[in-house]
Amino acid sequence: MIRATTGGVLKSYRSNLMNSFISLNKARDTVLSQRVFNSYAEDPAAAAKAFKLRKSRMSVESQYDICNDAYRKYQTAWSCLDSVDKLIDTDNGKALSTLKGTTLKMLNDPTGDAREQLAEALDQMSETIVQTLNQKYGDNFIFAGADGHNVPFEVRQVDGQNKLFYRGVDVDAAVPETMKDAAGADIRLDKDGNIDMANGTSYLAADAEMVNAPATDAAGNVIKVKDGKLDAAGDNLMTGYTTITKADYEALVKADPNAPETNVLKDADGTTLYEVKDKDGNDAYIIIGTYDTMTDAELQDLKDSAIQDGTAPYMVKDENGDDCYIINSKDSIISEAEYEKACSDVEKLKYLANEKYFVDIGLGFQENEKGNLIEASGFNASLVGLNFIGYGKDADGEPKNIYSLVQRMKEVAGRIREGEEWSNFDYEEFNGLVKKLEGASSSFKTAYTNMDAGTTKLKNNLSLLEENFYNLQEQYADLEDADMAESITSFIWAQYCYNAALKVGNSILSESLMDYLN
Amino acid sequence: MGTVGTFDAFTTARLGIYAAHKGLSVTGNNIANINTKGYTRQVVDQVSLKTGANDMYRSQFDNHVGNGALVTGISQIRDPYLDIRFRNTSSDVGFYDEKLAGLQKLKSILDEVGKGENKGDGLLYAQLQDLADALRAISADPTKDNDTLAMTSADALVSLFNTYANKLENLRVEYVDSLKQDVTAVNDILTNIRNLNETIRESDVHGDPALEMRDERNRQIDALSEYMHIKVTYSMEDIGGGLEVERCTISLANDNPDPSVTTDSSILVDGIYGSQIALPEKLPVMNENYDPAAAAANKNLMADPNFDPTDPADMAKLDPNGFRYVKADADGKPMDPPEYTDDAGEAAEVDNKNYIITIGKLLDAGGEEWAKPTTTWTRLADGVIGVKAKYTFTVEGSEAWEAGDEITIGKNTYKIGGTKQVPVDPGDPDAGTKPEKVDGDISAADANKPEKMAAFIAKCLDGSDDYKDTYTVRANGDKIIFTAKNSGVVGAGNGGPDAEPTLNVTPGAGAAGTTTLGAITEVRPGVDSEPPVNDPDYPGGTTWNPDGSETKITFVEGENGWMKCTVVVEHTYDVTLDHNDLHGSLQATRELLTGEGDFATTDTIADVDENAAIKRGIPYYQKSFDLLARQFAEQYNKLNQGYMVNEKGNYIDADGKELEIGGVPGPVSKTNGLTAEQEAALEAADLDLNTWLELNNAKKPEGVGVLFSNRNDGDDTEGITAANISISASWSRGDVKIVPTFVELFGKDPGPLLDENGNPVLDENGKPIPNTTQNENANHMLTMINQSLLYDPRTLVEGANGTKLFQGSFNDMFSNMNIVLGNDQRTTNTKLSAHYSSLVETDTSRDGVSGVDLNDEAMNMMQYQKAYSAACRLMTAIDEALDRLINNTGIAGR
Repeated sequence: MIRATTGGVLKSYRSNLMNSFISLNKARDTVLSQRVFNSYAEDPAAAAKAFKLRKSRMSVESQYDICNDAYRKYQTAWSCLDSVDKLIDTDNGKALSTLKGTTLKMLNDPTGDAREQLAEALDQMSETIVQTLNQKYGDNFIFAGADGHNVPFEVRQVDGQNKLFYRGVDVDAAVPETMKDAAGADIRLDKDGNIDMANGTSYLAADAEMVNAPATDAAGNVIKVKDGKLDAAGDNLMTGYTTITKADYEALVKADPNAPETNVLKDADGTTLYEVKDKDGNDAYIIIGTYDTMTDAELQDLKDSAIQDGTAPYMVKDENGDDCYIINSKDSIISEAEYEKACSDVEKLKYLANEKYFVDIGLGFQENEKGNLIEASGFNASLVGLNFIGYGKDADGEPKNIYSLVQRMKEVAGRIREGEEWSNFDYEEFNGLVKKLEGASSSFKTAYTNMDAGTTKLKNNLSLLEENFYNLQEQYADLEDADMAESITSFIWAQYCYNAALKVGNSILSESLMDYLN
Repeated sequence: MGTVGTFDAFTTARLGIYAAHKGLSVTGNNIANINTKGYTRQVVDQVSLKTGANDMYRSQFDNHVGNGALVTGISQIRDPYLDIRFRNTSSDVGFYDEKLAGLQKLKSILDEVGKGENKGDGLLYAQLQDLADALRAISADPTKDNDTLAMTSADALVSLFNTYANKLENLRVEYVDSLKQDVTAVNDILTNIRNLNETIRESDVHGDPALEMRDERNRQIDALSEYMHIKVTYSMEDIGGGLEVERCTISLANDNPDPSVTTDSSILVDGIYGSQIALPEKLPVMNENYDPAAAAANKNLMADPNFDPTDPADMAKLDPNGFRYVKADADGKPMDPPEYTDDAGEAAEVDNKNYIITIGKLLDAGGEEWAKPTTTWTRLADGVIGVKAKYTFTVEGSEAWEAGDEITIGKNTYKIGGTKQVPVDPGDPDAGTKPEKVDGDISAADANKPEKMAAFIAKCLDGSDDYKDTYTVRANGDKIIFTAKNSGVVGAGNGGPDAEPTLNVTPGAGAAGTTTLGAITEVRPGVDSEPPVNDPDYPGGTTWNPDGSETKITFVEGENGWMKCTVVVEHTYDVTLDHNDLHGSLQATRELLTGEGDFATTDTIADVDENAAIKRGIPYYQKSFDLLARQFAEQYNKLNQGYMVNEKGNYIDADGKELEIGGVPGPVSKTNGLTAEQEAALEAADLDLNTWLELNNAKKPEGVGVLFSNRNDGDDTEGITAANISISASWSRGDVKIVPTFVELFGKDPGPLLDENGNPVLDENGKPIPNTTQNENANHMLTMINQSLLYDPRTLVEGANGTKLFQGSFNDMFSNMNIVLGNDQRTTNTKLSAHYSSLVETDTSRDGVSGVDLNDEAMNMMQYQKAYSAACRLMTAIDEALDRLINNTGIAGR
């Protein structure tokens, strides 16, 4: 039988009192700290989770700042683009202050009284567009892609013309069109500008100046003409002519004997019509006035100035199938360096147009196993000015860039003297450029609209981050924060128990048999 | 009817008064000591007294009455089982209490719950996040300002690493001191117990039970049991004169799970001998091949008087595996090739990094060493043929063997050959003699040489059907010794040789065959024989045994023969404890100091502690922190080093030209990695890519270099730990900065950042600010904050057992350290609570047996008081009765 001794009872009491005090202390700690746990040991899983949530909250705070910054940048960009849009379009009701209005005015101004001023206005507007796209947000240029420290657009004088450069690259860069031989291979030239298909390093430009070689008859002899008839003894070698088929000629004579096309070249006798075969092999006559002539001396000069293939001038066919010499001039020859630079510039433009600049706005920001950012996890905050105002050249060899188009218009308009009417050719060219400008402005609008989608995304993300922030706060508060009603109840209960234990202690030694001894 | 002693009853009453008085004294003592710690309730041992004895003339009507009560002693009420239970639990409580205290101290350093801003953002967590924010700012805009911001943030972070590492190191140092103090405390207790044992022994000798000293001893033992799990045994020690006294022995309680380890039952105190424990700074280098059997063999060899320690030939006979330690060279390092010694002073030493405790020799108060002799007496064979039993025979008289003598062994008779003198005329003795050659089986000359004779007899025995394989025969001086080969009792049917050996020697015939050399006498050992000292079959003297004990054999002649006295003396030795020999608070402190968890090496697990991989003390957390800091530094240093690539991801030279590995066409791509041909070319050149790039002047971005180093005045990244991680000197100076991009667009240096006037913008150190807002590397750095990385202990500790401590981000790794710590704390707390409850319960139970209870004592007091009064009343009654008898009897008619 176990005895309950005085000492044993006291020991047991002390131990229990200590437990009661520990419980009281713990309950007090909970009330004072207002936390469910105060160390990992109390709840390792909850503590680890709470830290993760707090970490996320801190990230969200920072991501919010980054996102907000990007949003502000986009807003500023939007303002810039809006003003550019207004410069391009007519929507503001002030047609003359827009590119479109001004160009239309120029087209509809046959007298050309104000052409120079209008061209100047165009120039200024295009300058304004460039300046607008060189705007900064904070310390960084908005439309500079991933290089916010450099002015993105720069106008340089190249060969007396204003050329626009984006981060050092000509915005109109295009792979030069080269002339090809009958087999379709690039015609290659040596350093002197002569044909060297095997080792030549230069290219021949597709628009190289071609001069018709003297025309020959069926027997291969040059055709010499004078005063509308053949003149074998003369020195006028005929070059480049236009024919009319025999059938057409006869029909035309019947219809209108005075039509210019009925005036055709005659034999040396001056009466017989000189008959040739046209490209299609039909019998035809050469229309007088459609050919040029040159003297032997001129022919020799031409041959001398033409690109040589070995010992003889190099001949090509023009679009009419006529033999031509190519003038050996600087403009005709594209050096390899120029060609490669142009190719390289095109590559650069392609790269720059697609340049990305990712920032962490809370989309998960993560890299793949190769260490490359998973693009969907970041926000591409890069705004590339090129994509708004266009770059490169179209199939017609005309620039796509708004500024360059305006410069081209200015150039075309500049060909005609103030007060003169448009020539058909210039008018057509100008009109073509106006249409292309419309196309470019349409592309601008598309890019502008797309950017607006980015702005909306950022705005939505901001709201989401804000919501996340509160959610996370709530989540870790749920884990960490004590329910005060419960805590205080526990504390009061612990205090009650402790008081009771103390009361028991007060009476534990009060009575024993000793007290009853007389 | 029996006689009645007139004053007997007075004696009875007097003894009753004495007993009651003693009872009251003991009760008083109990009450007085109710609050004395460790006091054991005492009781009076009281017996009834009966004097006289039965005698043959005693009347059957004589009714014997007892003569009262006698107090035979005062004893304590104690339950040894409860003591054992209490002490076992006490060591558990000691262990877990100390461990929990250590873990709580670790927790106070590492646990960031509730710390930091926003009521618990943590410190390290928040700082890592702060760095992430700074990197995010660089990613968004890599300016100098943002680089400075990141450096400031990183500096705060590494300072935190340093602070944590310093705190952990301080804690470790505190615990080393604490362990030293514990060792001192344990030694005080051991000394106290030894001294108390001595005093109690003396009291025992003088018949005093020394109860208070036993209480004190129990208290000391209880205190010791908190420090280490011990086993306490009490035995009786014969001190001669028929007196036995109690001997208290305390040893370690065999806690090592490895059954081959015996040091876990080392004796700490044995009676008046006690040892001291120590925590040496250095430990001697042990001989890995130490073999106790070889050590015993060496000692035996050296004990031989013929052994000359100065003779290299003799020394070469010693087995190197018989020496305990490896000798030190001039620098104190182990000799190479190793030489061995038993002298700890000559041994090479290593740091006691595992905080191994040693136990010194058992010494008494005067410094005398403990030795425990165990004596066994064996009576040498008396009629019992043991392997060692001997039969000797001698030839009586001093005559020598002569030619013509015969020896009969069993059924065979052998002749002694040689030349003998024969009478010239057998009928005339005076005719003289003449030499005559006798053929024999052995010559007389050989027969008189005991060795030759013994060999001859052995041969004869082997040739005999009767005695084949029964005896070995050899010479011993002038005697020939027969030793039975088989055990057993002499005589047929007893398992021994069938019959007692009978060897008949027919003496030489002499002239008339009358010369009697005497019969061979068969002698049983111990009976008229000499003690077999110096007999190889009976090795007397001292030999050492593999267990370190010494066996001393002597032969003593008793009344009935010779006795063999074997004394095995166990000695006291210094003991170097194994890693797991202890349990209790000492062990908890040791484990806090040594627990490396996953960082424990496979060698440690194999050689020191098989459970080392799951013991996590301060070193585990220190090394985890080091691993975290190193990982952090390595990753960011790696990200801030490298070479420029162009927009296609190909490495370039200073001119922006793409590099090519000689002979292999095509660019060297960072994005796509090397082609097989490129790899083969590098392999042929025995170069790695980075070295090749360096050798080929690959372009480096400005500001490239290490961000973190092992000290802030240099760029050395070797051996970065949490304690030394610093911002590199180059980063501090501004020579290095966070490289936001390794991409150089179009092979052209973007040049410096220009101001509005086209002049380069310079930073505060006068260096141009790179002109780019490319941010791919800044993004790498940003994502690195949350990158899941493998923490491999082997990258920090070579040969570490763990291969994957954790996989996750920097934050997660720190969190994981806290989770491990938190779980360990919880588990330890639970165990402590369980053991503590058990301890309180056992202590209460022990108090139930041994404690003083006021109610009990009040009852005793009343009881003894009443007994006292009753005895006094008895005396009065007897007095009155005698008064009646003496004064008022026989007065009729007066």
